[in-house]
Amino acid sequence: MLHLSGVAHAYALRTVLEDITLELPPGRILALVGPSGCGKTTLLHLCAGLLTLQTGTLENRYTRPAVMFQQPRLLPWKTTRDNIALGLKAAGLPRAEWQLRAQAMGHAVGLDAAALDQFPHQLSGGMQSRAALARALVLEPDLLLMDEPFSALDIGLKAQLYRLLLEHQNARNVAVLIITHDLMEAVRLADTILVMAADPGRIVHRFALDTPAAARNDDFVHATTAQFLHAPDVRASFGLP
Amino acid sequence: MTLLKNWLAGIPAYLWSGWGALASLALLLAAWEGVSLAYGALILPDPAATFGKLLDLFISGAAWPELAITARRAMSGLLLAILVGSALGMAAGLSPTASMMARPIVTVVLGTPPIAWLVLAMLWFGANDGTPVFTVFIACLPVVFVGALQGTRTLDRHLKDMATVFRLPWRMKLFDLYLPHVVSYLFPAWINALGTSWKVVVMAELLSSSNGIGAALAVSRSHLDMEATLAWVVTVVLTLLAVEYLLLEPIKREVERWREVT
Repeated sequence: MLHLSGVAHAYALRTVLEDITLELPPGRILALVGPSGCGKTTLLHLCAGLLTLQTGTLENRYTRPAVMFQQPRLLPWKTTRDNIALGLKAAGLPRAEWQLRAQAMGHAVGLDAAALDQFPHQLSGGMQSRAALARALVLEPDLLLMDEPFSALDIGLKAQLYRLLLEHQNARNVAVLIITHDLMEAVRLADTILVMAADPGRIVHRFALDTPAAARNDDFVHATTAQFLHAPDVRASFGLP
Repeated sequence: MTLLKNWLAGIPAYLWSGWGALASLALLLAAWEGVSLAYGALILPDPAATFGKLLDLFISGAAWPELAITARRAMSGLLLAILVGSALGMAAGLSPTASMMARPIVTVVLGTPPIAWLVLAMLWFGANDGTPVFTVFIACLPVVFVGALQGTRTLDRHLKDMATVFRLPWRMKLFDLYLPHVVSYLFPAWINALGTSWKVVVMAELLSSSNGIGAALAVSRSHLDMEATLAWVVTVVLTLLAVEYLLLEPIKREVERWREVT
């Protein structure tokens, strides 16, 4: 269980987050959408422990969190395989085991043996994203924090990685907090969508989806996104007339 | 072990790539020969005479002990500077306050001419090994320190955050995150320091020691033996070139292999 209540954050005198309250139980997918600069990334960094909490309470009972950042953030001097295995190696697993598991997870996200032996800058952007996803999933996390992880990818690749993510999430009951500015992405993946507005960053709208993510087809996503966009709070948040 | 194997395997191809460098060195020799012809052997002996003398020095065995003594002093000072400078520089790079405070001090140390340190060292250590070793150490230290400092400061914040999130223990942070990045700053600094160490050690020996290449230079100068003087100079330069191009440069290539493949 991840529970935030009354969380606020300021950089010097500028308030970026105000009165954020949210809850993420195991096995649920929570999407945070909002315009650029509304403090989404700050919120995720607070959850990941990269920033110190200033105001409010943050309770994180998950023991194995993993993060997927906006950029792949792979270590340029390590092969793809060693990059995927980074968290396993950090956890103190023997070399043979982390190599095997990194390899299996690499194959699962569609990286072949040749790609696993290459350095990150030799891979395409899509392959780098796959590697970053594999690096997070191979830890078998119970909480996955994702910061616009698929924003640089084409729609075909996105669809593939959504399927991979949902399969893994479903099988292991992972809780996912995903930040995105792509409403369709949120509608496709999330159980609950929180809409944030900027200056200061705050939650202005909550939207729950009852259909299981695996059962959502393109028509459902288009229709629901259109319906979602009719909410006045959502339009105001993105500055739509 | 693979490093050693790759180093050995890479040498032939690497040497082959050195023809261009050899050609420009040959031009330098030609110019030397020209000046020698114009001014006479008393002012500048020609290359053949110099290398002949050099060969004599090595065959007669006179050069080896001096070379070994000088190398020992230079390497001791350099190794100390590399160890202390790399460690301190990386430590200082981790803290913005420390790197801010270190900057003016480094400028002062770097700005003090090695000859000034040598005079101080002669007073402190007298005419033994301590003087050249200390002078080399203090001349190389700021060079290495700045390299390590810059390397640590320039590591991408994003990668540091990633390392924190994936809970890398300090050993992995050092060997998998900081060192691979810092090495590309440290290596040029080490090579720079190596050059400095050879120049400074010869100077220090010339003024303060009774053995080593510097002392041999002083003796041949007092005998007005231009051939021997030049032979010793050539020895210093050749040793430096050999260490840099046969040892450090191939290692650097191997360590930075991930940069080169495209």
